[in-house]
Amino acid sequence: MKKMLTFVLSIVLVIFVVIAFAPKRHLYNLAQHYMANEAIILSGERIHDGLLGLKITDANIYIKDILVGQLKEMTLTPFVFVNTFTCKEFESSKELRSLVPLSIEKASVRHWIGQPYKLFINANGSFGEAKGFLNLREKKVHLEIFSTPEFEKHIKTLAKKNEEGFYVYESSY
Amino acid sequence: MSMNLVIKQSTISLFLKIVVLIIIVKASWVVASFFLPKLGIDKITIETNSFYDKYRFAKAFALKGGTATSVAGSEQGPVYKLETIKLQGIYISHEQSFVAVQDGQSIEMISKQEAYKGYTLAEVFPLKAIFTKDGARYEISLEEEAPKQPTSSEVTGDDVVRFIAKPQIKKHTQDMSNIWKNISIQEIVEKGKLEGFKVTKIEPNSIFGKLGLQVGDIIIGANNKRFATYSDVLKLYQEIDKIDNLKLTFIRDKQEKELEYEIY
Repeated sequence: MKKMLTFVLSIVLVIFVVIAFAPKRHLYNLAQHYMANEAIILSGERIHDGLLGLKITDANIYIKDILVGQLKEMTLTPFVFVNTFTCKEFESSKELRSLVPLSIEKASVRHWIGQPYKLFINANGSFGEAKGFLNLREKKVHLEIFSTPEFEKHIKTLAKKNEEGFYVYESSY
Repeated sequence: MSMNLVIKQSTISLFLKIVVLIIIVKASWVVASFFLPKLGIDKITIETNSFYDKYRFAKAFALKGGTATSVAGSEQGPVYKLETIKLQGIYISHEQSFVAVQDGQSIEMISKQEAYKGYTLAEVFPLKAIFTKDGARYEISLEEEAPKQPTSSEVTGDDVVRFIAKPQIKKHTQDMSNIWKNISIQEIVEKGKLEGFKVTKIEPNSIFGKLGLQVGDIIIGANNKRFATYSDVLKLYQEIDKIDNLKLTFIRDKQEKELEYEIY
């Protein structure tokens, strides 16, 4: 039992040291390059190094050259076994507002090592609430959206309403 | 005394192990840092010129709210039909407008203010031309059966401006479902560069079908500007209800073609 406890504590210590000493800004730069290949750019953001994570504030998000919105805060906490990525206060840009007047109060993406190919998504905002997952191996997105009545006219062109009253959005990339 | 020594030795041993771990991890990350990008990616935005080189035939026609009324003849005296000259074609631009008239077997090109058989070309409209002679005004229509009041559903020859009513544009921009149930487009990207948008489905009875677009057309630009980025397309979408004239450039049967619309 003591050996087991020592082993677990050693693992936790190694993870802590690996995360604490990681060059987080460099890793973030690497992530930005990967995102740029998918035409996603975070621009003008401020980066705050933390002991166990990285906080990004005031980022302009561009997808395919279009400014889609501004993100107030984004936190990345990599704990190897469970990694989380949390966004707070996203507002769609003035340019896109006429198409989709979207604001997200909070969104979180969680990765668990037990299901390495899945990213679990939870979000809430002006559109209502959404939960679902992204399958990295099959390159598929599945979202169940509990839309507000005001947002329904925007969502109905993208997702199908099921018998239980919520919208299901499925897409491949 | 020996017990204390044992505890101290194990503590020191643990401390040393942690220090060694930190040194190894830190050294590994320092080495890894050499291979990681030092800089992130920032978006540089370049302000581009507007798409729109405005010329406003609709205002000249005093078109309002889906109806068309020609001012010719209302303020400048009566307009007579001229049967002796046959109009074969009309070209209108903001710089120069001219008409093609048939003279026997040959075609004569006449610019505005030029005379032909004593008649001076005074005004050029999408479907007709006005000539003057001895103070009187004469009208020649491009096609005898051409409707007097152009509407958005009109499809005329390729060189002629087509008309779209602003309320129809507004109806489509306010509810995107109106667009996507009538037309489907697919982006064409080659070597990471946006080449255009291919029309993959079009409802023939919709506004899109009636305005001359066909399945297989690849829309590559608007108003003499190529779609280089998705932002260009969004800009066009946002300004569409503010503009008076739109020229779509597209590829059909491997040939570059244009469709011109006036929004009134």
